[in-house]
Amino acid sequence: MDCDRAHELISAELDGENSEAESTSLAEHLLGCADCRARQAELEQLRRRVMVRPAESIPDQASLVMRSVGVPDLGGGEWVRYALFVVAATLLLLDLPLLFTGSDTDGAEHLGRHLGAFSMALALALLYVAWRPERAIGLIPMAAVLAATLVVTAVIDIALGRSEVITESYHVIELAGLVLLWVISGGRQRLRHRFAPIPR
Amino acid sequence: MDSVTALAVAARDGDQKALEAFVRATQADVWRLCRYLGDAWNADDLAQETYARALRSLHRFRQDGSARAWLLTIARRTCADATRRAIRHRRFLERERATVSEGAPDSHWVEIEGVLADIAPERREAFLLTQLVGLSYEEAAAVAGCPVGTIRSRVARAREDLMQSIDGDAAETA
Repeated sequence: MDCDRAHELISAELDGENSEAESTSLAEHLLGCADCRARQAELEQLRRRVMVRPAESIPDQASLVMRSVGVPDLGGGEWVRYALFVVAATLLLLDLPLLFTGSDTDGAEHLGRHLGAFSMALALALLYVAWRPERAIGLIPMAAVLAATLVVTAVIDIALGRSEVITESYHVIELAGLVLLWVISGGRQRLRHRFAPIPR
Repeated sequence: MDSVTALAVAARDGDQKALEAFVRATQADVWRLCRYLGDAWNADDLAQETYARALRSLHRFRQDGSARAWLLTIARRTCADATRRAIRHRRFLERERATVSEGAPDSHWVEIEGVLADIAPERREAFLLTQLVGLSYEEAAAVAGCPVGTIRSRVARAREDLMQSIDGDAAETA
């Protein structure tokens, strides 16, 4: 073996990349070659220097990466998803009859169907979010407007005596759905991010 | 399947906790490669861009390869693109280079770091992948897109070059 070939084997030997046959023939060469033995000692020292290099302060990329892909830290625990499931299922059960029978109040059967359709849309959307929580933020505008409108009209109707507190009270379910959506979407972190300077 | 690859597969299928764990498990290697391949370019930005590119093509990731090697291949390409762009920013680079070699003079590592920048890019790359990132020759070959034997000889040549440069520097200062 010539020394050039030996140098390559010394390098590979340091990295544990030689086959058994290569290791053996290198050992034989080293026995008879003082230059290569010296070279081996130098390369071993180089390898050690690289290994004991000072620790770099590596910045944490994970949080930046997660934000760069628009993935928020989802808020709340697993329980929020189950709670949302319960809310969505309740909404579905309460409003499904409305979709098919139209209305329990006189006359406005067709309008009742429309109402049923809206409620079912919300219920199914909430079910979907319970399954895929990262979708929560997309549903918030629609759910917020719906809940706000329902609450405002309920308050007005109760004040004018056109409706009872009892009959309107089940809109609490839609409100609960909205709150759970907000928690699940990591809403609070979102607001904090918006007002925090973007780290470079 | 190794644990990093398992995380990448889970992340591809929509598991965000796995995505975060994947980034945390690989970020040191990616950053290190960017730091030394990117010609003292801003390693933070390069690492970020590497992950941005990786996420864009994550849906195409197949689990028959190693996710670490896949990611480092992307990091390598990101650094190569940045180096091409960096021609416009040469002055900035030279300033960076100067601060690197001015660092703590008592450290052997600073000495190696300084001469590492001067050896041929493909040798430097082979050295980084195997010695700093700690890949096997086979993995390094997958990342660099060359045969294992080529990595083997490049690592050996890189070591020769480093020894020579360090000896040369020592002779100059003596």
